[in-house]
Amino acid sequence: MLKIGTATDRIIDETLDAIRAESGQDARLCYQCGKCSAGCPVHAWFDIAPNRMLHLLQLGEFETVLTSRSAQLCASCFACSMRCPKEIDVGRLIDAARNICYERGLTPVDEVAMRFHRTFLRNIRSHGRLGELMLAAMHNMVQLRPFADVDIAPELFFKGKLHVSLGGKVKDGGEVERIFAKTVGKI
Amino acid sequence: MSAGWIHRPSRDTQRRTWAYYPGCSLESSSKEFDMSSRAVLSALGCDLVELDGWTCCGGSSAHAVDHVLGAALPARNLRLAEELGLDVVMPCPACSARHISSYHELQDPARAAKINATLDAPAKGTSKVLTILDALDQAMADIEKGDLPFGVDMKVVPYYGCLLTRPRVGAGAYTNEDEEPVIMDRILEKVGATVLPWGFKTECCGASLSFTVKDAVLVNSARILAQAVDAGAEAIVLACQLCEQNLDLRRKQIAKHSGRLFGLPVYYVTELVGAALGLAPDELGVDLHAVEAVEPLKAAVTPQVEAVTE
Repeated sequence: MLKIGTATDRIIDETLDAIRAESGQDARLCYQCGKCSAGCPVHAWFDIAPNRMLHLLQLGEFETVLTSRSAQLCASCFACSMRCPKEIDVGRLIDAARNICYERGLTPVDEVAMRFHRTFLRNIRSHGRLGELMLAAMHNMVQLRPFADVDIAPELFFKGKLHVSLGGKVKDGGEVERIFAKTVGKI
Repeated sequence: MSAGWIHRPSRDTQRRTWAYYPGCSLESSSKEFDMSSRAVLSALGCDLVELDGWTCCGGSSAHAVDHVLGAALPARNLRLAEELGLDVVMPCPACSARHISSYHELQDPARAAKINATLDAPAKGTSKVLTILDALDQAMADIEKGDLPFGVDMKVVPYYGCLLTRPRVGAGAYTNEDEEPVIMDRILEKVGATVLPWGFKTECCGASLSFTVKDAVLVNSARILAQAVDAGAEAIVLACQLCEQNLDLRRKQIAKHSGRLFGLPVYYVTELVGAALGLAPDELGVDLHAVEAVEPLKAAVTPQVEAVTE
């Protein structure tokens, strides 16, 4: 992992150029006003505040940002992106960070979000649409908390809102499976 | 009595036809949003054609793992709408935000090529996405306050949540109302509600973080409910099923976490418009909420005398 001050200016520039090419966002534009962090609804649960993520990118500490809890937990509400006076789409930049983290097989500080995404995507890959009940059940099992949210299940059940579909598949001609195969491959 | 009071657009050619994408949540845990959206748009003289063979947009997970995947899954649905030659209404703001984002990528030839390389047939990016607010705003363009058969006399705060007004560059009839949106305010005033000012219109409730950092959902949602009460609201009106679940279904969890039990009901904007059109609460799914919502609504609905004598 790069430590602050060890990356040369050239490496930092090349990496930030690569991030810009992928996401269209230039982290160098940030001047630390902090509006992104002020408006972030998940800020209190982050390990690195959004404005500090930008600063760490400028300093070349890429892996810290890529594997941060913050990059994983971002809710993608895009409040940061809306409020940035330099018009940096911070949410898009955070997406790029977690995309790279996933693609390179890095281990993030907090893996719960990545496990959730895997469960979610496997579910829609095999059925075409999301079975919410199956998603909740699978995620709870993966997380070893089988009884999370059981208190709200009766409310949903008795109002006919738990749609139990087993093995149903949308008629998509197999296209969703091919989209997955051509993008992420195996999840 | 005939249903002649139901608003008909002034010109016959104004009858609108849109494609319709319910999304996964509206098929199960949020079916009242689907029921009320369909019922209200139909009563307002709009024809909805559900996209045949629609698939999940990838939600908050696809784009977090792979950007092209997160754009390609919605692009497939946009292509289905293009095949019908229609713009598409998407009540779920998580779905609409992903599809709008994909729509914009399809306008850029280099990005479109990347996305289309993963699809069986290319999406052109010609069908626009309308949120339920865009659709209602257009369908109710000719309606003034007092025109509808019933008035909903209730003090409300309009809660847009995060995704409904984002991304900033919309594909539909957007007015760049990102921080202080008024499109829902306008609709609510037409149904006779008193729209109160408050500062939490676009604050995020925590959305699907209930699966990952549940505390974030409980803390943010409690804050939103407290602000609504402080503003003097009798109800929160919203247009997002993730917000609805967090603010309504999780009410007891919030009480346990914050020590404060909030009693105010939550409504979808479509439910209030439906009530003003004379639709019954169970036609709109109002009885499917966790916090009692039917009685307060019944108490607030009053006939508009002028409309009946017309």
